[in-house]
Formats: sequence, C-alpha cells, structure tokens
Amino acid sequence: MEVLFSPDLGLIIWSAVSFVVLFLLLKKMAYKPLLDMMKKREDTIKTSLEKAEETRSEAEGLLGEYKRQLDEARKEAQQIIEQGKVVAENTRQELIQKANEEAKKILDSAQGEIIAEKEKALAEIQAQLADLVIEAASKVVQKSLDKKDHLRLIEDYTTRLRDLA
Amino acid sequence: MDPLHHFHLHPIIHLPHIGPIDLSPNMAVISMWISMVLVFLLVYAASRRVSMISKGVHAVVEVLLEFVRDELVLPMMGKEGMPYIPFIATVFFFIWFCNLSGLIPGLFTPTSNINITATLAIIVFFAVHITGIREHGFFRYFKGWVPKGVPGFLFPFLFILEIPSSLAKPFSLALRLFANMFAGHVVLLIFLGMIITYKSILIAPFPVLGAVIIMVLELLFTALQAYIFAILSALYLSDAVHGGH
Repeated sequence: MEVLFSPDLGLIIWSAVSFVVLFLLLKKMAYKPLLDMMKKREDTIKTSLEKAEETRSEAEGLLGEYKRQLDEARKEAQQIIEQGKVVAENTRQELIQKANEEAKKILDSAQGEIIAEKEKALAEIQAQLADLVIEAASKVVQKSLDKKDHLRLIEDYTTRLRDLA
Repeated sequence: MDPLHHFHLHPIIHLPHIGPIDLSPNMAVISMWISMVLVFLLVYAASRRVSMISKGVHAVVEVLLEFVRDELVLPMMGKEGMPYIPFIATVFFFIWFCNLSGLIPGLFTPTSNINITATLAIIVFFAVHITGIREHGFFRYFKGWVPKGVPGFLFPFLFILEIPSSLAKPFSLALRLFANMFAGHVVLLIFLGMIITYKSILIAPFPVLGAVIIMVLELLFTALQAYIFAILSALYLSDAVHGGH
C-alpha cells in the first residue's frame, strides 16, 4: 500500500511539466484557429438563419402583394367584361332600334311611292280611258254596231284595260 | 500474485539525481508523454485542417471541443468562461488520454498514480486562485471567501475555516481520479490474475469474460473520470471568476 501513496518528486515535476507544456503548446498553436472557426461557423449559421428568415418574410410580403394585385387585376378584368357586355348590349339595342327605324322609314317611303305610283297610274288610266272612250265613240259613229259587235268591242276594251292595269 | 505489483514504477532511462529529485523517466512518465504527444498531434492536426465544413480529424476534435464548451464550460461558468476553454479542454484531453493509455498493453495508467493526479489537482488549484486574484484583485478575492454581512470579529475565524474547504477541493479531485483509475485496474488485474492463479482451462473463460466486461467499462470510465475532473475544475474556476465561494 505504501507504494500507492509514496511521494515521488520526479513524477510530480514530470507531470507538471508535461501538462504545462501541452497546455502552452496547444494554446499557442492549436486552440485559436479551432475556436475561431467554431465561432465563425456559428456566426455564419446565425447570420444565414437570420437572412433566411428575413428573405422568407420578404417573400411572404411579396406573395401577399402579388395576390392582392392578382385579385385587383381579376376584379378589373371582370369589371371590363361587365362594362363590355353593357356597351355591347346598348350598341345592340341601338342598332336594332336604328334598323327598325330605317326599315320603317324604307317601308314608309315605299308605301308613299306605291301610293304615288298608283295615283299616277290611275291618272294615266283615266287619261287613256278618255282617249279610248273618244276612240270608241268615234268608231261607233263611223259604223253601226250590232249586238255582237258591241260585245266584241266591250271585251276588246276590257282586255286592253286589263293590260293597261 | 500481488495485484499491486503492476503499480511499482521502475526507471526506464536512468538520469542522475538532482538532490533528492529523481527525474529518471519510468513507465508512468513515458505513458504520460505518449498521451501528451497524441493529444498535441490530434489537436494540432485538427487546427491545421480547419474549414467551414469540418471533416476527418478536424470534425472529431471540433465535436470534443464543442462538448467541452457546451457541456463543461458554459453550464458551469457562463459566457465569462469562454477564455478558459483552452485550459479546461487541455485538462479534459490530457486526463482522458492518460486514462486511455492504461488500456494499451505495455503502457501504464499515469492517472492511477496519486503523484500525477495530485499534481494535476494542484495545477487546477493554482489556476483557480490565480484567476480569482487576477479577476478581483488580491484582497477583494480573499475577502469574497467570507459571506457578506458577517460581523468583523468573525471574519478571521470564517476565513480560517474556508482554508481547509479550499484545500479539500484539489484533494478530492486528486483522490477521486486516482482511486477510480487505480481501482479499475486492480479489478482488471485480479480478473487476469485468476487465470494464472487457477491455471485451469475450465475456469479461464470466466475471468477473461470478466476482464473484457471491465475493459469495456474502463473505456467508459476513462472519459467519465476526465469529464468529472474537468467539470469540477470548471466549477472551481467559475467560483473564482464570479467571486462566489
């Protein structure tokens, strides 16, 4: 048991020297780059995370803005379509009305023309009838007519009249 | 067979005595040097390969350093402990490798010798008090040993009472590490000694199995004891830095 607790100055000195030398060497040559790199990596990760969070919130903002713009555009498009429909309907109504009016006008003028033509024809008929009557009368005067001649004459005039009409 | 026989140290290289001091290196010293060189090479190699994406030896050392920082220094000392990471890390690595060296056949466990554990504990003791004096100044640091509000006449008594408490810390550090490493090896030697003592092929498998189990446990204890020594060192340093006692 004595061996376990007997002091050994040589061992004490060697262990103290070994530890101190190791500590000084590592402190001077090795720990700094390692600890600096650990710190740098942590800082980089922290910055990256912060940046990512920033970008995410920015992207979320942009997405909201785009959604809002899209909604607005949709509404606007709907409005334009509605307006177009109204304008088209109005134009259609206007055109129909105008066409109706035009047709009415054409009809009226056609009717007027027909009446005028009719009147003109009647006047012509009347004039020609007078001529024919005079002609007939002159023929009657020139020649005595029997019943058969009368009928033929009448039929002849009627046919001519029909042709004239 | 004497299990303590293994713990007798004999000089490997004979050096002349300097007064009462025999600096002739024995197996404990050689093992300590091997541990020291291995720790240095490992950490130094890692420091030469630092990169943002750690790999190989750098990744391994960085994990260990992160462990020292996040599990030993920061919980015990807080942010003020950052400058002490190199010291605590050296304590941890040195003791761990010294403990491990005992598991290699032919080498000796330096930490199973009280002289070495006591030296390490004394180094921690001095580091703690030097840190305390440097942080608070000589008088303020020692004044901080006695709780505030104590009547003046009680001050010397309480101060004297604090001295053994202060000395008990390195004592317990040294004894704990020594006892654990020593006991582990004694149990291992007893198991292995049974093979030689009984000289029977029927009995031999049991001590071998026992030795293997103890060896696995020892592997765990090497890190555990280094961790305990380092975490207590960090705790004592924290007391010195924060002025508590």
